Amino acid sequence: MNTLVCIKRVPDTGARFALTSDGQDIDSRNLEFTISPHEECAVEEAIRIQEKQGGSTAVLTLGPEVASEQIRESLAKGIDRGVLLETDGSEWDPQATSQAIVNAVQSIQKTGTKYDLVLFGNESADSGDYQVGVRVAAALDWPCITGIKSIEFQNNQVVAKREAPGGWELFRLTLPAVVTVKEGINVPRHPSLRGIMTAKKKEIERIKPAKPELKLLKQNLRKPQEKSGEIQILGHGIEAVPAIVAKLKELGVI
Amino acid sequence: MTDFNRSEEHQMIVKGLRSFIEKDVLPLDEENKKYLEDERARLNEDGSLVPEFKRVIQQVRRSSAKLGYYAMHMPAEIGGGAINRVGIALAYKEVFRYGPGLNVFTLSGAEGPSPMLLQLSQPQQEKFLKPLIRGEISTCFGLTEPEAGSDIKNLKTKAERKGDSYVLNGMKTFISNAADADFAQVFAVTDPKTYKEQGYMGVTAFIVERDRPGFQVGKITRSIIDDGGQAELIFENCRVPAENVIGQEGTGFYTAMGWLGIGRLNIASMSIGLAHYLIERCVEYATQRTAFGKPISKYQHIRGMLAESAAELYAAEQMLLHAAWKMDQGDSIIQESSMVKWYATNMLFRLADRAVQIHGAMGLMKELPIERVFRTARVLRIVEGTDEIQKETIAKSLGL
Repeated sequence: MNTLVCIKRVPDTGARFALTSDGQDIDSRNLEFTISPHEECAVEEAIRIQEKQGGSTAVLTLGPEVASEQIRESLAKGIDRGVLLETDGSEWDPQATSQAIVNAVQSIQKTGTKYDLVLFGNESADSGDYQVGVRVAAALDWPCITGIKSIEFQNNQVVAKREAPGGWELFRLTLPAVVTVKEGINVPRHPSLRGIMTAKKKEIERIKPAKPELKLLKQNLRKPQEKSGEIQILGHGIEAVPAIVAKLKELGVI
Repeated sequence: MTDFNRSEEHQMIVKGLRSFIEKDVLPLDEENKKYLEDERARLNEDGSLVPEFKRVIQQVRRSSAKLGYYAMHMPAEIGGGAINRVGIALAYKEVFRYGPGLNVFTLSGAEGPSPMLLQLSQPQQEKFLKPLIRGEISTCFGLTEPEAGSDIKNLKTKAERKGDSYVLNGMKTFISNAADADFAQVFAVTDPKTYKEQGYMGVTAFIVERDRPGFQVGKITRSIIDDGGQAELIFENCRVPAENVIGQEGTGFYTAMGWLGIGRLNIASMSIGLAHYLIERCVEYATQRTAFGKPISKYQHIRGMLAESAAELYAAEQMLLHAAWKMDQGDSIIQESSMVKWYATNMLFRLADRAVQIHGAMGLMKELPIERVFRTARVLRIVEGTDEIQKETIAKSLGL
């Protein structure tokens, strides 16, 4: 089973951030970057698939040279090789991104590595477009399923489960296929020190895709109002009961 | 030319440690809150650690060892990480940046493997060193005596050769992790004449297993941080086989001194990590806490304290990284390690004092870890050589 995982370098999801003065970008000074959380789970899933089924694993990202940091992180966890679709750091819309990934997959396939499964995160943590995985599948003419929280293999088919109200939806896809996964499918491992040291020696292939004309143009970014919560202590022990009842009435719960 | 860029490998180690601490260790802090807020809850009547807390410490150590972080300073061929001194300095800093919780057990300290044990024979390394690296057992470093602290020329513990064994008699005090160690590394005078004449020769380091007849853990000392760690080691006609000698007979101090130098940099890294933690907590508190209608972070007194703290921390951090880098180049850092240890621990002590002041009454309460860092900061100016010993070493390097 040869699995390719597509990841995205995004600002640390827990970090406080600011926008650049022209409102065109996130001010990345003093900002940490990470792998988008759903995709971190996709990396973990690919490693687990290899541990059970054998085969190979690769990770691919589109971004500037610094995005190789996220490739190395994946290599440190156990992915075999990395592919960086190197850009000048400017914005690529989902259509352009998926086209570059499709081109890369097809060109790698020509060299003899046939991917059985391409994994994506359900959506990226920064732009949340939900598009790239689906677009890649459509362009490759492969079956695709999104929002998956369990993957198994039976008779050369992927058996994928998606959480639904009150139960699970079950899907069977023939290989090769594209699956987008959600956080909760697994608990991603930490990189081991040995993994970090061996990641240095693993290959990262660099491809410079030509940037197509963008059809989805960003106007500007706006930072939403920060939500602030308030904690009100109504009392301690049994003496707090009347205050709790009063508050529940005030909120219209009872 | 000096390169101030952090290597990719070092950045990944720091990120790996963050991932481990944030996902696996910090949740344990919450579950073990009662032990973290009140150290006395960790202790049995005799001052030893209660089994529940011991288990949690072991869990953190073993998980970290499994990932290869716990013994990252040891050579790869023995199962360590072979990380250089700059990497280790950054790692200790990162671990202590999370404050004084269970995260502090992520990397090995006096209870863990030290390069000194590389001088053991192959079978002894299998028996003692490898399980230490895996975090399965722990040790303690038995050098200090009631009359021999930094003045190590006054040891009274003796070991007399009898056939294939040595017989140890004497006592050690303030030994960290003594109460829980599976074996002790003990320094004893084997050649009193040479020791008297030369001071540094004539002392031998031994491994003494916990259950060896004639060896017992004495009084567990209560201390300012009450971590149940420091205790006496008592030897009464304790027979130790010659195969338990670490290195060569009579050269124990030379191996010990090399280890102490590394320990000083580690203490400095811990201080720097804790200082980062304090500044983050202070900034957070000062921005939220209002007095007389505005956040206290808007008052010049508070701003000044934090600005000074940040500058002093910056200085300490650069000193540490320079000393670590110099050590990686194979240079001697006797002078630098003392300078860094003295400066970084005193810097932390000043910051901890300001942190208590900024937090006001809350800074004194057990609910917040600020007062614990304040107490820890005081300890760090004593262990691994007091302020005065560090200054003495620096003065000697000036030709005084």
